[in-house]
Amino acid sequence: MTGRVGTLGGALLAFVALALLGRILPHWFVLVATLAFAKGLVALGLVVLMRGGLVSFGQGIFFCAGGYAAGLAMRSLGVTDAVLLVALGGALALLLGLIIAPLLAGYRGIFFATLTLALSMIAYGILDKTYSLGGSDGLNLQAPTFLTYQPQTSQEVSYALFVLASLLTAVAAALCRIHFDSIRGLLSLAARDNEIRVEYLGASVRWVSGTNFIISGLLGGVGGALAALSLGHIDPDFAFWTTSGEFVFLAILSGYVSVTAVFVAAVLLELVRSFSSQYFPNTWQGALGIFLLLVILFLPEGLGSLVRRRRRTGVKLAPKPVESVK
Amino acid sequence: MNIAAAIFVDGLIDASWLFIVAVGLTLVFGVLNILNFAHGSLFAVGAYTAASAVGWYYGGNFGPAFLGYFVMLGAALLVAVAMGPLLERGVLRLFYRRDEVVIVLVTYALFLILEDATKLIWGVNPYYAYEPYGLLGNVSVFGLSYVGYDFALVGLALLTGVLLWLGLNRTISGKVVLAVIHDRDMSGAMGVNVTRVFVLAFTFGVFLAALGGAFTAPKISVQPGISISVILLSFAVVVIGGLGSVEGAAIAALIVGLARAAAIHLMPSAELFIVYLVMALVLALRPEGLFQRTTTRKI
Amino acid sequence: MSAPSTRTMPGARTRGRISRAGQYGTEISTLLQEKPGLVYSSLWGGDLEAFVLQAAPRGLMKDRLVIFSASDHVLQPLGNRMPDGVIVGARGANGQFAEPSPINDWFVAAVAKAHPGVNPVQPHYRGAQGVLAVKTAVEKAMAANGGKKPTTEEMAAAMVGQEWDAPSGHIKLALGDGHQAIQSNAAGRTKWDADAKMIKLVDIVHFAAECVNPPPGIKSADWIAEGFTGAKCN
Repeated sequence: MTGRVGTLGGALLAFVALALLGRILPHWFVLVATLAFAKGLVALGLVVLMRGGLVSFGQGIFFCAGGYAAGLAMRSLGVTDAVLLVALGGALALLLGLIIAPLLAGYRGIFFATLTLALSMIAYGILDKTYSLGGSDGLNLQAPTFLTYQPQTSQEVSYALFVLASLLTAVAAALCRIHFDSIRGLLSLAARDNEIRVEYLGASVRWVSGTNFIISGLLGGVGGALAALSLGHIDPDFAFWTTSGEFVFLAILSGYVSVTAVFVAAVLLELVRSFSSQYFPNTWQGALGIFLLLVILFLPEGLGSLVRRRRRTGVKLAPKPVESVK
Repeated sequence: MNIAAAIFVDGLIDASWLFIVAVGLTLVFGVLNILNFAHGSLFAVGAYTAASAVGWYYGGNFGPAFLGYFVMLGAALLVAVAMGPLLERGVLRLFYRRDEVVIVLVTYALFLILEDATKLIWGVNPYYAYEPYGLLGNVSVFGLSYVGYDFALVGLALLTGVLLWLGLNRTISGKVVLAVIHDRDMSGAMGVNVTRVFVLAFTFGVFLAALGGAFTAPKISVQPGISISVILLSFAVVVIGGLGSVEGAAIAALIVGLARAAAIHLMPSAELFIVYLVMALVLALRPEGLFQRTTTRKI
Repeated sequence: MSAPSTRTMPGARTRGRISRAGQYGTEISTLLQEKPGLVYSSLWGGDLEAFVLQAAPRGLMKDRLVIFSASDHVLQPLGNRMPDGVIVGARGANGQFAEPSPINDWFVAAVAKAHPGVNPVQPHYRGAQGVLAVKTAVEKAMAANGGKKPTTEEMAAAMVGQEWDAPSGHIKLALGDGHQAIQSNAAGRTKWDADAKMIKLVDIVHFAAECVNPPPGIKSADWIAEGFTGAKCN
């Protein structure tokens, strides 16, 4: 299908463009962008859930699963390869997702949100008290290696991480776009609209929610491992509900229409945060809150709806009943 | 000294301020269907306002020491009157037609805004309101020394609960509120001014949050960040007790208070997550909480 | 964080980590029940202030030894609500523990000018020593690379084993192959000074850095268990 090839081609192009850009951009921007992409991955997971009508305050669980897996592998198993570490982080998060998803899949709305919040806080409590995992100090991570490449300076490490982040972003974005446009992905939109009717039509909302949750967990874990490598540190605070709230904020801001919007919004947000905490330490959070209110009020589908595109299949992506495919 | 008795007394004291705060949250959900993330920030605003008011009152020696309690009460009322209608009519009203989860995100945005607003108004240094704390002396219970003020807080919680229950169940306006909780469209059709009930209910919820904050201020150092743990515990109480139920909030506050007290006395490392464990269990087994409020869903 | 050692204080028991709630009624009840001869806490900031406000009226801080190892910064906000006779630490010779020296005099005067009425305490001192550490590293790296702006690697290399003077005293990166800093420490007792309207620290005892830090090559927990072999105290 031309749609899928086009998406993959676009992703490849984006990756190459980013890799080249990273060579000329200043060092601090590369660092910011890497972290932004990592957080964007986590938020993308939330977008997957949001398309199904669910808001999760528990992405912190998977973020920590990914980050701690990477940290522990580095500390106790001596693994330094970044690709392997990110894969391990994703694997642990995936495992957790597979275990938790059946428990949560039956819940909607407020109950889903508060249940994920409770689980996030339980994770925080466990991590904080477990001294073998570093307790409240968390774990430190050293500079990683990349397959056969061993970067020497901190500049080279940052650039290599940026390339890895761009690659993961492009792959995840492409796969998510393909998933969203597939029948299963469109079923999420239907469930978001009215899950009881979906059940009457013969599809399983539990199954849709469950798979979405597992996907979001995987993305959260990959993002967490990447962020931990980029920051050089992971600690239980990333499971505290306010961190999960930041990811929710990012997901709302970008909306569920465009996948690219998630990462653009993530970079914007990270830039705003870096500058604001230096110049407006006591007002930028409030400014973000006002901005969030305005977005919810005037752009209910997030920033992505500003660049709404029509798909070639003729299906309009909107919170209305799905029109027939031409 | 009996450990069980200590757990009971400590749990009761903890449960009191929790109940005052959580019952406001559950009331707001019951009437307006809003799970207010900013409830903790309103608690903080109440605490700051009371701290400033108490500082002004005792600093200027305006009257007898005991009137300080009424100054605190006045501070809570002030916060409610200033912020309740403003938030409900000015902000929340714009989002009523949306999904109930959207409103949660709106209150999350309000939480962010209020956090910085308090920092702008009161700064980042701590405030104290300690004079009222020592006015009631010490009480010896089961051989341990407790501050009298903490038991007064238990009394305040009881009073609040009883007045609230009586108000809802024995007065006409209370029954109107119960009708709106039960079915707002039908109430509107029967001639109830639902808009007015919304504003009043939300303002009362703000008042309860601010009351909790005002009367907790004397025993803590009021500074940025106190809202965050308050909102978590209130959520837990409201979820366990059932969204919208006053009796549920009371029982759940007791459960949470006693659970935390037991954990601290017997297994301190569990203290951080035992509350969320109970919350998750309740959500898993009986999502509507212990005192469920039946909701009809129009498809 | 390893398990606490009972080598120096037999019979010592720990109470679990205290949460952020700021309400310590239950924790205080448990402590009161056990009737300890000594109460120790490393709580700091708003948590410690709330703890003192709630513990003092209930008698937890009376008739027993109370040690708050990281508490000098709560002395100004709490004022006379902090009882006398409490042993206070500042995580280093910071604040009132700092011994007079040209750099300390400069620092105290500078803080007084920039923030009148604020007594410089632990956070001010530690911020200053951090900045001075970076300054020393930059100067050393620039001397080595011919005066150019140093890269992160050059600064890191310059910092290994570095020593520098700070308002709290002399600091050395003496442990961990030159990557871990040690500095002297001090303790004192609180005493309310009604004229100056502030808590003064009396009975101050200083400890040299090599007295309260292990020599290179041994972990702190093992060093304590062995009986502080190799400690150089004044």
